Amino acid sequence: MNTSPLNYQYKIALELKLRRVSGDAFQDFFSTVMGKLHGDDFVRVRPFGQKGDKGCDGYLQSCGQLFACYGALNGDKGKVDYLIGKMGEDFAKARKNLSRIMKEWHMVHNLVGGLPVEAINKLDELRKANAGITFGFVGLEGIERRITQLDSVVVAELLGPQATNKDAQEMQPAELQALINGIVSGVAVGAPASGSIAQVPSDKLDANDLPNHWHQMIEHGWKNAYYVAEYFDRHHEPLIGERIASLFRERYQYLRAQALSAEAIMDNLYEFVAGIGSVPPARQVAAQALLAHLFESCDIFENLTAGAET
Amino acid sequence: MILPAKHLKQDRALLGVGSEILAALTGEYTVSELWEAVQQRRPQAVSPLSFDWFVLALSFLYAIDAVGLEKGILTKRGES
Repeated sequence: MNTSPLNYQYKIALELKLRRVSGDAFQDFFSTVMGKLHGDDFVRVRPFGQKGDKGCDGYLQSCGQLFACYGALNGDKGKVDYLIGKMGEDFAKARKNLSRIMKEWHMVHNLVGGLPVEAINKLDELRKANAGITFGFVGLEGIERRITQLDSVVVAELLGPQATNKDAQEMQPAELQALINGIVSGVAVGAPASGSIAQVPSDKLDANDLPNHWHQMIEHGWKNAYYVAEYFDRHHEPLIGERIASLFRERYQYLRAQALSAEAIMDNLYEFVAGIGSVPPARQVAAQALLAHLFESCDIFENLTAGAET
Repeated sequence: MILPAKHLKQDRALLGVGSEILAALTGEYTVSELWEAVQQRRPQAVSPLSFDWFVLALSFLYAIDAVGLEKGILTKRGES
Protein backbone atom coordinates (compact mmCIF):
# COMPACT_ATOMS: atom_id res chain seq x y z
CA MET A 1 0.00 0.00 0.00
CA ASN A 2 1.40 3.38 -1.00
CA THR A 3 1.32 6.05 1.71
CA SER A 4 3.40 8.74 0.02
CA PRO A 5 1.68 12.10 -0.42
CA LEU A 6 0.50 12.86 -3.93
CA ASN A 7 3.08 14.68 -6.00
CA TYR A 8 2.17 18.11 -7.30
CA GLN A 9 1.04 16.79 -10.66
CA TYR A 10 -1.43 14.37 -9.14
CA LYS A 11 -2.68 17.08 -6.80
CA ILE A 12 -3.34 19.28 -9.84
CA ALA A 13 -5.00 16.39 -11.68
CA LEU A 14 -7.24 15.62 -8.69
CA GLU A 15 -8.20 19.25 -8.22
CA LEU A 16 -9.08 19.63 -11.90
CA LYS A 17 -11.00 16.37 -11.85
CA LEU A 18 -13.08 17.45 -8.85
CA ARG A 19 -13.87 20.79 -10.49
CA ARG A 20 -14.99 19.02 -13.67
CA VAL A 21 -17.21 16.23 -12.35
CA SER A 22 -20.66 16.86 -10.94
CA GLY A 23 -23.74 14.91 -9.97
CA ASP A 24 -23.57 11.22 -10.86
CA ALA A 25 -20.09 11.54 -12.34
CA PHE A 26 -18.75 12.78 -9.01
CA GLN A 27 -20.50 9.98 -7.12
CA ASP A 28 -19.06 7.50 -9.58
CA PHE A 29 -15.55 8.85 -9.11
CA PHE A 30 -15.79 8.74 -5.32
CA SER A 31 -17.25 5.22 -5.44
CA THR A 32 -14.40 4.10 -7.67
CA VAL A 33 -11.83 5.48 -5.22
CA MET A 34 -13.55 3.79 -2.29
CA GLY A 35 -13.96 0.53 -4.20
CA LYS A 36 -10.27 0.46 -5.10
CA LEU A 37 -9.34 1.20 -1.48
CA HIS A 38 -11.77 -1.03 0.40
CA GLY A 39 -12.64 -3.70 -2.13
CA ASP A 40 -15.94 -5.44 -1.45
CA ASP A 41 -16.24 -3.80 1.98
CA PHE A 42 -17.39 -0.68 0.13
CA VAL A 43 -20.79 -1.04 -1.51
CA ARG A 44 -21.44 1.16 -4.52
CA VAL A 45 -25.10 2.26 -4.48
CA ARG A 46 -27.38 3.44 -7.22
CA PRO A 47 -31.10 4.10 -7.29
CA PHE A 48 -33.26 1.27 -8.63
CA GLY A 49 -36.30 2.83 -10.26
CA GLN A 50 -38.94 3.97 -7.80
CA LYS A 51 -37.12 2.46 -4.86
CA GLY A 52 -34.54 5.27 -5.08
CA ASP A 53 -31.26 5.18 -3.18
CA LYS A 54 -32.78 6.14 0.18
CA GLY A 55 -30.22 8.92 0.64
CA CYS A 56 -27.27 6.59 0.35
CA ASP A 57 -24.62 7.10 -2.32
CA GLY A 58 -22.17 4.56 -0.92
CA TYR A 59 -21.73 2.39 2.17
CA LEU A 60 -18.72 1.02 4.02
CA GLN A 61 -19.93 -2.14 5.72
CA SER A 62 -17.18 -2.76 8.25
CA CYS A 63 -17.77 0.51 10.10
CA GLY A 64 -21.31 1.41 9.04
CA GLN A 65 -20.21 4.57 7.21
CA LEU A 66 -22.88 5.93 4.89
CA PHE A 67 -21.88 8.50 2.27
CA ALA A 68 -24.02 11.15 0.59
CA CYS A 69 -22.39 12.81 -2.43
CA TYR A 70 -22.78 16.42 -3.47
CA GLY A 71 -21.00 17.20 -6.74
CA ALA A 72 -21.48 20.76 -7.90
CA LEU A 73 -20.37 21.71 -11.40
CA ASN A 74 -17.01 23.45 -11.30
CA GLY A 75 -17.15 23.39 -7.51
CA ASP A 76 -19.88 26.00 -7.61
CA LYS A 77 -20.81 26.72 -4.04
CA GLY A 78 -23.22 29.46 -5.04
CA LYS A 79 -26.34 27.39 -4.31
CA VAL A 80 -26.00 27.31 -0.54
CA ASP A 81 -29.69 26.79 0.15
CA TYR A 82 -29.76 23.83 -2.19
CA LEU A 83 -26.73 22.31 -0.51
CA ILE A 84 -28.16 22.71 2.99
CA GLY A 85 -31.50 21.36 1.85
CA LYS A 86 -29.86 18.35 0.25
CA MET A 87 -27.91 17.60 3.41
CA GLY A 88 -31.12 17.58 5.43
CA GLU A 89 -33.11 15.57 2.87
CA ASP A 90 -30.45 12.94 2.27
CA PHE A 91 -29.89 12.39 5.96
CA ALA A 92 -33.62 12.25 6.67
CA LYS A 93 -34.08 9.59 3.98
CA ALA A 94 -31.15 7.59 5.31
CA ARG A 95 -32.36 7.81 8.91
CA LYS A 96 -35.84 6.70 7.91
CA ASN A 97 -34.75 3.73 5.79
CA LEU A 98 -31.25 2.76 6.86
CA SER A 99 -31.04 3.52 10.59
CA ARG A 100 -30.33 -0.13 11.35
CA ILE A 101 -27.06 -0.13 9.41
CA MET A 102 -26.03 3.51 9.62
CA LYS A 103 -23.46 4.29 12.34
CA GLU A 104 -21.82 7.23 10.57
CA TRP A 105 -23.04 9.75 7.99
CA HIS A 106 -20.58 11.66 5.81
CA MET A 107 -21.26 14.27 3.18
CA VAL A 108 -18.82 13.94 0.31
CA HIS A 109 -18.34 17.08 -1.76
CA ASN A 110 -16.19 18.49 -4.56
CA LEU A 111 -16.09 22.09 -3.35
CA VAL A 112 -12.36 22.51 -3.78
CA GLY A 113 -12.37 26.06 -2.44
CA GLY A 114 -14.18 25.07 0.75
CA LEU A 115 -17.68 24.72 2.14
CA PRO A 116 -19.99 27.57 3.11
CA VAL A 117 -20.22 28.02 6.86
CA GLU A 118 -23.93 27.15 6.67
CA ALA A 119 -22.93 23.57 5.87
CA ILE A 120 -20.91 23.38 9.09
CA ASN A 121 -23.88 24.68 11.04
CA LYS A 122 -26.17 22.18 9.36
CA LEU A 123 -23.92 19.26 10.15
CA ASP A 124 -23.69 20.40 13.76
CA GLU A 125 -27.47 20.64 13.90
CA LEU A 126 -27.78 17.07 12.61
CA ARG A 127 -25.13 15.88 15.05
CA LYS A 128 -26.92 17.38 18.05
CA ALA A 129 -30.27 15.97 16.96
CA ASN A 130 -28.93 12.47 16.38
CA ALA A 131 -26.80 11.28 19.25
CA GLY A 132 -25.11 7.99 18.56
CA ILE A 133 -24.34 8.77 14.89
CA THR A 134 -20.95 10.15 13.89
CA PHE A 135 -21.07 12.91 11.28
CA GLY A 136 -18.42 14.35 9.00
CA PHE A 137 -17.42 15.84 5.67
CA VAL A 138 -15.21 14.33 3.01
CA GLY A 139 -13.74 16.91 0.66
CA LEU A 140 -10.61 17.38 -1.43
CA GLU A 141 -8.24 16.51 1.40
CA GLY A 142 -10.22 13.44 2.44
CA ILE A 143 -10.42 12.14 -1.12
CA GLU A 144 -6.72 12.87 -1.59
CA ARG A 145 -5.87 10.98 1.61
CA ARG A 146 -7.76 7.95 0.37
CA ILE A 147 -6.08 8.09 -3.01
CA THR A 148 -2.60 8.27 -1.47
CA GLN A 149 -3.25 4.88 0.09
CA LEU A 150 -3.66 3.32 -3.33
CA ASP A 151 -0.97 1.72 -5.42
CA SER A 152 0.71 4.09 -7.89
CA VAL A 153 -0.64 2.12 -10.84
CA VAL A 154 -4.18 2.53 -9.54
CA VAL A 155 -3.59 6.25 -8.92
CA ALA A 156 -2.49 6.62 -12.56
CA GLU A 157 -5.69 4.83 -13.64
CA LEU A 158 -7.78 7.24 -11.60
CA LEU A 159 -6.01 10.49 -12.38
CA GLY A 160 -4.27 9.79 -15.64
CA PRO A 161 -0.57 9.35 -16.44
CA GLN A 162 1.69 12.11 -15.15
CA ALA A 163 4.87 13.46 -16.69
CA THR A 164 8.09 12.10 -15.24
CA ASN A 165 11.42 13.89 -14.79
CA LYS A 166 12.56 12.19 -17.97
CA ASP A 167 9.58 13.63 -19.85
CA ALA A 168 10.47 17.08 -18.51
CA GLN A 169 14.08 16.73 -19.61
CA GLU A 170 13.01 15.71 -23.09
CA MET A 171 10.28 18.25 -23.85
CA GLN A 172 8.99 17.60 -27.37
CA PRO A 173 9.18 20.69 -29.62
CA ALA A 174 6.40 19.22 -31.76
CA GLU A 175 4.16 19.07 -28.68
CA LEU A 176 4.85 22.72 -27.88
CA GLN A 177 4.13 23.62 -31.50
CA ALA A 178 0.83 21.71 -31.47
CA LEU A 179 -0.13 23.32 -28.16
CA ILE A 180 0.52 26.86 -29.39
CA ASN A 181 -1.11 26.27 -32.78
CA GLY A 182 -4.16 24.93 -30.97
CA ILE A 183 -4.38 27.99 -28.76
CA VAL A 184 -3.95 30.44 -31.63
CA SER A 185 -6.38 28.70 -33.95
CA GLY A 186 -9.01 28.30 -31.25
CA VAL A 187 -9.22 31.97 -30.34
CA ALA A 188 -9.58 35.04 -32.55
CA VAL A 189 -6.75 37.32 -31.55
CA GLY A 190 -6.56 40.82 -32.89
CA ALA A 191 -3.52 43.06 -32.88
CA PRO A 192 -1.65 42.17 -29.69
CA ALA A 193 -1.25 44.82 -27.04
CA SER A 194 2.28 44.66 -25.75
CA GLY A 195 2.67 44.27 -22.01
CA SER A 196 4.99 46.37 -19.93
CA ILE A 197 8.51 45.11 -19.46
CA ALA A 198 9.15 44.86 -15.76
CA GLN A 199 11.52 42.98 -13.55
CA VAL A 200 10.02 39.82 -12.05
CA PRO A 201 9.83 40.02 -8.26
CA SER A 202 11.85 37.14 -6.85
CA ASP A 203 9.00 36.11 -4.59
CA LYS A 204 6.23 36.44 -7.14
CA LEU A 205 5.16 32.83 -6.52
CA ASP A 206 4.64 33.42 -2.79
CA ALA A 207 3.04 36.81 -3.24
CA ASN A 208 0.32 35.46 -5.51
CA ASP A 209 -0.90 33.02 -2.90
CA LEU A 210 -0.69 30.00 -5.16
CA PRO A 211 -0.97 26.63 -3.39
CA ASN A 212 2.17 24.56 -3.06
CA HIS A 213 1.38 22.15 -5.90
CA TRP A 214 1.05 25.05 -8.34
CA HIS A 215 4.30 26.48 -6.96
CA GLN A 216 5.99 23.23 -7.83
CA MET A 217 4.43 23.12 -11.27
CA ILE A 218 5.72 26.59 -12.10
CA GLU A 219 9.16 25.77 -10.69
CA HIS A 220 9.36 22.58 -12.73
CA GLY A 221 8.07 24.39 -15.79
CA TRP A 222 10.87 26.95 -15.50
CA LYS A 223 13.35 24.32 -16.59
CA ASN A 224 11.82 24.38 -20.06
CA ALA A 225 10.55 27.98 -20.17
CA TYR A 226 13.69 29.01 -22.03
CA TYR A 227 12.72 26.70 -24.90
CA VAL A 228 9.34 28.38 -25.12
CA ALA A 229 11.04 31.76 -25.53
CA GLU A 230 13.35 30.23 -28.12
CA TYR A 231 10.39 28.75 -29.97
CA PHE A 232 8.73 32.15 -30.15
CA ASP A 233 11.98 33.76 -31.30
CA ARG A 234 12.40 31.28 -34.13
CA HIS A 235 8.75 31.06 -35.15
CA HIS A 236 8.05 32.17 -38.74
CA GLU A 237 5.51 34.64 -37.39
CA PRO A 238 7.44 37.32 -35.47
CA LEU A 239 4.44 38.41 -33.42
CA ILE A 240 3.44 34.93 -32.18
CA GLY A 241 4.97 35.53 -28.74
CA GLU A 242 3.15 38.82 -28.36
CA ARG A 243 -0.12 37.27 -29.55
CA ILE A 244 0.03 34.41 -27.07
CA ALA A 245 1.05 36.71 -24.22
CA SER A 246 -1.72 39.17 -25.04
CA LEU A 247 -4.26 36.34 -25.13
CA PHE A 248 -3.22 35.05 -21.74
CA ARG A 249 -3.06 38.54 -20.21
CA GLU A 250 -6.66 39.11 -21.27
CA ARG A 251 -7.75 35.72 -20.04
CA TYR A 252 -6.05 36.24 -16.69
CA GLN A 253 -7.65 39.68 -16.28
CA TYR A 254 -11.04 38.20 -17.16
CA LEU A 255 -10.71 35.46 -14.54
CA ARG A 256 -9.39 37.88 -11.96
CA ALA A 257 -12.35 40.17 -12.55
CA GLN A 258 -14.60 37.28 -11.49
CA ALA A 259 -12.96 37.36 -8.07
CA LEU A 260 -11.70 33.80 -8.47
CA SER A 261 -8.96 32.57 -6.18
CA ALA A 262 -5.43 32.30 -7.51
CA GLU A 263 -5.86 28.54 -7.39
CA ALA A 264 -9.06 28.60 -9.46
CA ILE A 265 -7.44 30.95 -11.98
CA MET A 266 -4.49 28.63 -12.34
CA ASP A 267 -6.81 25.62 -12.80
CA ASN A 268 -8.58 27.46 -15.56
CA LEU A 269 -5.41 28.58 -17.32
CA TYR A 270 -3.92 25.10 -17.12
CA GLU A 271 -7.01 23.51 -18.65
CA PHE A 272 -7.10 26.22 -21.31
CA VAL A 273 -3.56 25.25 -22.32
CA ALA A 274 -3.44 21.52 -21.74
CA GLY A 275 -7.03 20.54 -22.35
CA ILE A 276 -9.63 18.87 -20.19
CA GLY A 277 -9.39 15.35 -18.81
CA SER A 278 -6.43 13.03 -19.02
CA VAL A 279 -3.52 14.89 -20.62
CA PRO A 280 -0.61 12.94 -22.13
CA PRO A 281 2.68 13.49 -20.27
CA ALA A 282 4.37 15.18 -23.24
CA ARG A 283 1.59 17.73 -23.42
CA GLN A 284 1.73 18.29 -19.66
CA VAL A 285 5.41 19.17 -19.94
CA ALA A 286 4.78 21.60 -22.82
CA ALA A 287 1.84 23.20 -20.98
CA GLN A 288 3.85 23.62 -17.79
CA ALA A 289 6.71 25.21 -19.73
CA LEU A 290 4.36 27.65 -21.46
CA LEU A 291 2.67 28.68 -18.21
CA ALA A 292 6.01 29.06 -16.44
CA HIS A 293 7.25 31.23 -19.32
CA LEU A 294 4.16 33.44 -19.12
CA PHE A 295 4.43 33.63 -15.34
CA GLU A 296 8.08 34.60 -15.55
CA SER A 297 7.44 37.21 -18.23
CA CYS A 298 4.76 38.76 -16.03
CA ASP A 299 1.90 38.14 -18.44
CA ILE A 300 -0.13 36.27 -15.85
CA PHE A 301 -0.56 36.89 -12.14
CA GLU A 302 0.47 39.95 -10.23
CA ASN A 303 3.96 41.39 -9.99
CA LEU A 304 3.86 41.57 -6.25
CA THR A 305 6.34 41.00 -3.55
CA ALA A 306 5.16 39.02 -0.54
CA GLY A 307 3.48 41.27 1.97
CA ALA A 308 2.51 43.88 -0.62
CA GLU A 309 -1.15 44.75 -1.04
CA THR A 310 -2.83 44.08 -4.40
CA MET B 1 5.57 45.55 -33.95
CA ILE B 2 7.69 48.53 -34.89
CA LEU B 3 9.56 48.67 -31.61
CA PRO B 4 10.99 45.70 -29.71
CA ALA B 5 8.62 44.34 -27.05
CA LYS B 6 8.57 41.81 -24.26
CA HIS B 7 8.17 38.91 -26.68
CA LEU B 8 9.55 40.58 -29.78
CA LYS B 9 13.30 40.77 -29.95
CA GLN B 10 15.12 43.71 -31.45
CA ASP B 11 16.22 41.75 -34.51
CA ARG B 12 12.59 40.96 -35.33
CA ALA B 13 11.02 44.33 -34.63
CA LEU B 14 10.45 46.41 -37.76
CA LEU B 15 12.87 49.00 -36.45
CA GLY B 16 15.59 46.37 -36.09
CA VAL B 17 14.90 44.80 -39.47
CA GLY B 18 14.76 48.29 -40.96
CA SER B 19 18.26 49.02 -39.68
CA GLU B 20 19.51 45.83 -41.32
CA ILE B 21 17.89 46.83 -44.59
CA LEU B 22 19.50 50.28 -44.46
CA ALA B 23 22.89 48.71 -43.74
CA ALA B 24 22.51 46.43 -46.78
CA LEU B 25 21.25 49.22 -49.05
CA THR B 26 24.68 50.41 -50.17
CA GLY B 27 23.61 51.49 -53.66
CA GLU B 28 20.72 50.93 -56.02
CA TYR B 29 18.83 47.69 -55.60
CA THR B 30 15.67 46.10 -56.80
CA VAL B 31 13.47 44.64 -54.06
CA SER B 32 14.61 41.08 -54.86
CA GLU B 33 18.29 42.07 -54.86
CA LEU B 34 17.91 43.85 -51.56
CA TRP B 35 16.10 40.83 -50.08
CA GLU B 36 19.01 38.57 -51.07
CA ALA B 37 21.55 41.07 -49.73
CA VAL B 38 19.76 41.28 -46.36
CA GLN B 39 19.52 37.48 -46.11
CA GLN B 40 23.23 37.09 -46.80
CA ARG B 41 24.18 39.63 -44.18
CA ARG B 42 21.83 38.19 -41.55
CA PRO B 43 23.68 35.91 -39.10
CA GLN B 44 22.48 32.32 -38.89
CA ALA B 45 21.99 32.58 -35.14
CA VAL B 46 19.33 35.27 -35.23
CA SER B 47 15.61 34.69 -35.68
CA PRO B 48 14.46 33.84 -39.20
CA LEU B 49 13.18 36.67 -41.38
CA SER B 50 10.29 35.98 -43.75
CA PHE B 51 9.82 37.86 -47.00
CA ASP B 52 6.53 39.38 -45.93
CA TRP B 53 8.14 40.73 -42.76
CA PHE B 54 11.00 42.11 -44.85
CA VAL B 55 8.47 43.86 -47.11
CA LEU B 56 6.67 45.23 -44.04
CA ALA B 57 9.95 46.68 -42.74
CA LEU B 58 10.71 48.12 -46.18
CA SER B 59 7.24 49.70 -46.26
CA PHE B 60 7.96 51.21 -42.86
CA LEU B 61 11.23 52.69 -44.12
CA TYR B 62 9.42 54.06 -47.17
CA ALA B 63 6.72 55.57 -44.97
CA ILE B 64 9.29 57.46 -42.90
CA ASP B 65 11.15 58.49 -46.06
CA ALA B 66 14.27 56.55 -45.18
CA VAL B 67 14.25 54.81 -48.56
CA GLY B 68 13.00 55.87 -51.97
CA LEU B 69 11.57 53.79 -54.79
CA GLU B 70 11.79 55.01 -58.37
CA LYS B 71 11.10 52.86 -61.41
CA GLY B 72 11.54 49.73 -59.32
CA ILE B 73 14.89 50.76 -57.86
CA LEU B 74 15.40 51.30 -54.14
CA THR B 75 17.82 53.88 -52.81
CA LYS B 76 18.61 55.22 -49.40
CA ARG B 77 17.24 58.67 -48.81
CA GLY B 78 19.24 61.48 -47.28
CA GLU B 79 22.51 60.55 -48.96
CA SER B 80 23.87 62.63 -51.79
